[in-house]
Parts: sequence; structure tokens; C-alpha cells
Amino acid sequence: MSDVTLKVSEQTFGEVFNLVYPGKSLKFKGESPGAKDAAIKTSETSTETSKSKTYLNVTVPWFAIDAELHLVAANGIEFNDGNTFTINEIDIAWDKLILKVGLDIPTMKFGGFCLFKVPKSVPVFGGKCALEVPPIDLFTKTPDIEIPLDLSPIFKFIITEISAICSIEIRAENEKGKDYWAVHPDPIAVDADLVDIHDTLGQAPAILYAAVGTIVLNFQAAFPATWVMDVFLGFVGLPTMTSLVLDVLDIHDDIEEWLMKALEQSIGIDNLLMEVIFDAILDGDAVFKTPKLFEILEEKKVKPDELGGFAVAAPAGDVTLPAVSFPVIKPEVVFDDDEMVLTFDFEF
Amino acid sequence: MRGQLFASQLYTQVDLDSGALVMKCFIAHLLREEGLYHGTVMLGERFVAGFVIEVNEIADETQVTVDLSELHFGARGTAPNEVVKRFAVKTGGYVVLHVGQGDGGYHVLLRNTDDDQSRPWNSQRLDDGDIFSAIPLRPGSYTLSNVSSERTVATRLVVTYPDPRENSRDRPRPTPVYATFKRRRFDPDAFTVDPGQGIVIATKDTARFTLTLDQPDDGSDEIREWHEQQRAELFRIIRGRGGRAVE
Repeated sequence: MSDVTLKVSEQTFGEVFNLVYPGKSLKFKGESPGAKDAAIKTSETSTETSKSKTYLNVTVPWFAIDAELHLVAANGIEFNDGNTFTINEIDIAWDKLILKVGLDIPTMKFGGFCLFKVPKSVPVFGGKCALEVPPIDLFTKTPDIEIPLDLSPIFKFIITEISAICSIEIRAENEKGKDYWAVHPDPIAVDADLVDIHDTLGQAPAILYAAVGTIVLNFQAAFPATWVMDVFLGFVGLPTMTSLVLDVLDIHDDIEEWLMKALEQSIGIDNLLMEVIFDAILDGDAVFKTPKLFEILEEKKVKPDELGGFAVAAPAGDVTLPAVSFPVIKPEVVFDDDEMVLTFDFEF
Repeated sequence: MRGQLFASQLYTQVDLDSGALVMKCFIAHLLREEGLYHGTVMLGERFVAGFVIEVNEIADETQVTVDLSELHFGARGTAPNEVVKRFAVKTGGYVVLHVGQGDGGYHVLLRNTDDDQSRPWNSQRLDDGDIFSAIPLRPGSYTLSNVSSERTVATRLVVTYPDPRENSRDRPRPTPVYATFKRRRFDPDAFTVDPGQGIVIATKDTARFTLTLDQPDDGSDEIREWHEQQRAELFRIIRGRGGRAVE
């Protein structure tokens, strides 16, 4: 039997948890790994005819995210067997969500045609090109375009479901020179899922199309004259910059699907969320703590005669009675049915 | 947006001259005789780089491609007569001169050092067997001339304005237009090409070809109006954050 036993109900634990953790700003950044090296082939070169077809190999768009959120509340805390507890739902609120889209316009070639063909009358080599001009490259000067898309207007549509399983542990800590036993949740697993935003986006598609429109205008502005843009579009075989940007971004019919893909598959926002919440819980403050030296009596100044029992007159002046403390040992925390039980002994 | 989408010379250098090569034009010169050829890259009156071509029967290649800008930039800081690069080509092969980057404006002097009697070749004065190629981009109406003598010979070349509404990925790229210059005449005597479509002129006479823009073409009123509509639609979508899909 321990000297001291403290019991905390699930409800109280949840309330304390929600006092300690929410409100802290959690920042994270991430980007799509290795995307710049990959390529989307958007059309094929025909080998059926001798004439080459217009084609464009575009690199996969590069995505990055710059985000900030804070925990609002942990709901549905349940104590488990095996000294763990589950938070069924952690509410978060987005403070910033900037999706950066990088386009690496592929190098295009024109020219590179035949100057002189071997006369067809010549055996073996007849009809083949004997002399070629080297092609001229377009888009060789690091022509990356990086456009930030501020997703703040659609924060409310980006719903996340986050749950966590934590064990509970006691750590020795020091705060302002005093030693404590501190009770901390220790995350074992965090799960974060973006709810499929297809049905919840509401006006978001329009906002996203507006963002795409902004990219198009930026891209158009990079062309010195309309005729240059029209000549370039002729090379690419697309009618408008809009169609080109949608093509390069790999946006097809469904822009919500594209956004989900960018956030989930390219950036891995789920994992980033998991990490940031994992770290927030791991590095968070203690939910409960008790001093390592449990003070029974405070240090006290008394006049000797107050103590009594003197045969002669008590000496003048005060004397200091030292504080009486017991070292707290063997702290333990376990979950027992619907209660967290914290026990420790005093070392006499 | 950062960086530059493409070399500005591609759209600022509209007039082309075989005697002052820039990024959009090329010269091919036939090397009939075996020997060690010393080439000199000139920028106006200034020597900028030297190179050597070994022409013999044992070389593998029948074409050697020389980037004059690469030689120019590579020669910076070297002695005036220093050979920047050596090439080899089979006897009867061609040297193709071009400008890979920069403002260009080069011409080349080429001399067979194994043959004291031979006359140096000057790319400002093309000769029988030489080929000039150009890739005009700017839509408009041009004059294509041979200005090698006082009696300039000229013909018309039109670069059509591309209608973006008709663009298609399946549309094959146009092949170059091949022409000859012989007995002071161009054959054919008029050209119509798409932007980026090459013209290749094989000369049988002495020549220095120039391509001069007379009248730029900025597209029809209909195309300009279509562009305005596209732009207005974009602004409407961006401002209104709504409406139909962008495309």
C-alpha cells in the first residue's frame, strides 16, 4: 500500500489536458520530395509518320506547404488498459496554410531540322539526312515559376480527423531550482487524416480556379509581347496559357481532387500533421506534477518562549525551525478503469 | 516568377544576316579538300577566338558543328592566336556554324594551312556549295536579299501570324522550306512560312543573305479581340472568385 494515492477521473484528466495543450502555435513546413526529377509525358511522338508531332514533356509540379495551426481541444479521452489513453478527436484550427506551387517549364527545342538529304538515288543512305542544324533550346535559364496559393479562404473546408494514443509516464524535472515528478502524456501513435474535401469544399473550387487564374496572369506577364506568347503556344500546341498552366499543373477535370492529391500525396500533409502533433504532445507541459520533496511543515521563525518548557527565561531573539519534508519516492501512474491513479511513497 | 523564360535574343533579334550570325541562323560550309584548317571567329573587325578543323579521310564524322559563342566565351583570357578547340571531320564533310547563346554577330574566316595557294573562306561571302539557314520567329513581312554585290537581289518572305485557336498537339511541325540561290535568283522566288519554320538556302553563287522585317504582323483584330476576351474572363474569375471553370 502506497503512502499517497491520488485518483483523477477521465473527465478531469480531459479538462486538465485541455488547459495545458491548446493554444500553442504549431508551425510546420514541407515539400514534395524529388518531384522536380519526375516527368509527366503529356503527349506522344508519333513514329507512324516521318513528321514529328508537337509534344511537351513537363516536369511534375513541385509543391511545398507553409502552415501554422493550434490545438483547440482534445475530445473524447478514454483511459485504456495497458497504461495508455486514447484521444479520439483532437480539434485543430488552421492559422496559416500556404500551398506553394512550383512549375519547372521544360526545355523545349525548335529548329534541329535537316539541311541536306542524301539523294534518293544513292544506295543505302538515300533519303537520309546528311546535315543537320543544331536545335535551339527554349526555357534553359532556370525558368522555374513559384506561385504561393493562400488557402486561407478554404480553411474551414479543410477538415482533419486527428486521433492519438498516448501512454503516461513520470519524468524527473527541475523548474526554477525545484525538483519535481512530472506526469506527461507520451504519444505512441498519432493518426491524422484529411477528410475527403470533395463534398465540403463549397466555394473552394472557384477560389482555386481564381488562384490558377493568377498563375496564368503571372505566366503571361513573363512574355514580352503577345506575338511571342502566340508563337510559343503554337510550339506547344495549346490554345491558351490557361490550358498550358492546367496541363503543367496536371489539373484535369476535378480541381478538388487535384488539391487533395497535392496536399496528401505530394506533400504528405497527413504525416506532417502527425509529426507536429506528436512533437507538441511530447514536448508539452506536464499535466500533473508533485515536488520530489513533499513539504509537511514550512520553515518557520518562532520566539523560543513560544515553544515553552524552559526552566529559566528563554533566550531573546527568534529561532528558525527548518521545514519538514519527506522525499517522494516510487512515483507510479496507472490507469485503472475510469481513473488515473498516481501513487508515491514518502521516504522516512 | 523568377528567372527568364528564354533568351531575349530570340525575340529581339528580328533581322538576320548570314554575315553576322546570331542564334536563329546557321551556315554550312563544304570542306572539299583535306588539310588542317585554321578558323578565326570574328565579331565585326575584332578577333575573338581561334579553332582548328582537321579534315582527312580517317575522321568518323561527316559534319562538325561549331558553336561560335562557346568559342568566344571560352577564349576569354587566352592569347589572341590560341586555339580554343579542335575538331575533325571527314574530307567532303561540312562544318556547321551556329550561335548557341548570347548576342552573336559573328563571322568566320577559314584557311587551309596545308595549302598556301587556297583562298581563305569568309562566311560573310558565301560561295557555291554553302548553305544558309534561318528560323524567323517574328510574324510579319520580310525582304530576303542577297547583298554580296552592289546589285542587291531581293524577294519577299512572309511569316504568318499563328492563330492560337487552331493550335493542336496533333498538328505536325512544319518542315523547312528549301530554296536555292543560283544565277542571281531565288528559287522559289517568294516564301511563306510559319514562325519557327526554317528556311534553307543552298547557294550556287556568291552570296550574303539578309532577312529584314518590313512590316510586323501582330495578328488580326479577331485574334486580338479573342485575347481580350480570354484576359477579361481571367480577371472576372480572379476578382469574382467564381464563375465557370477557367478553361
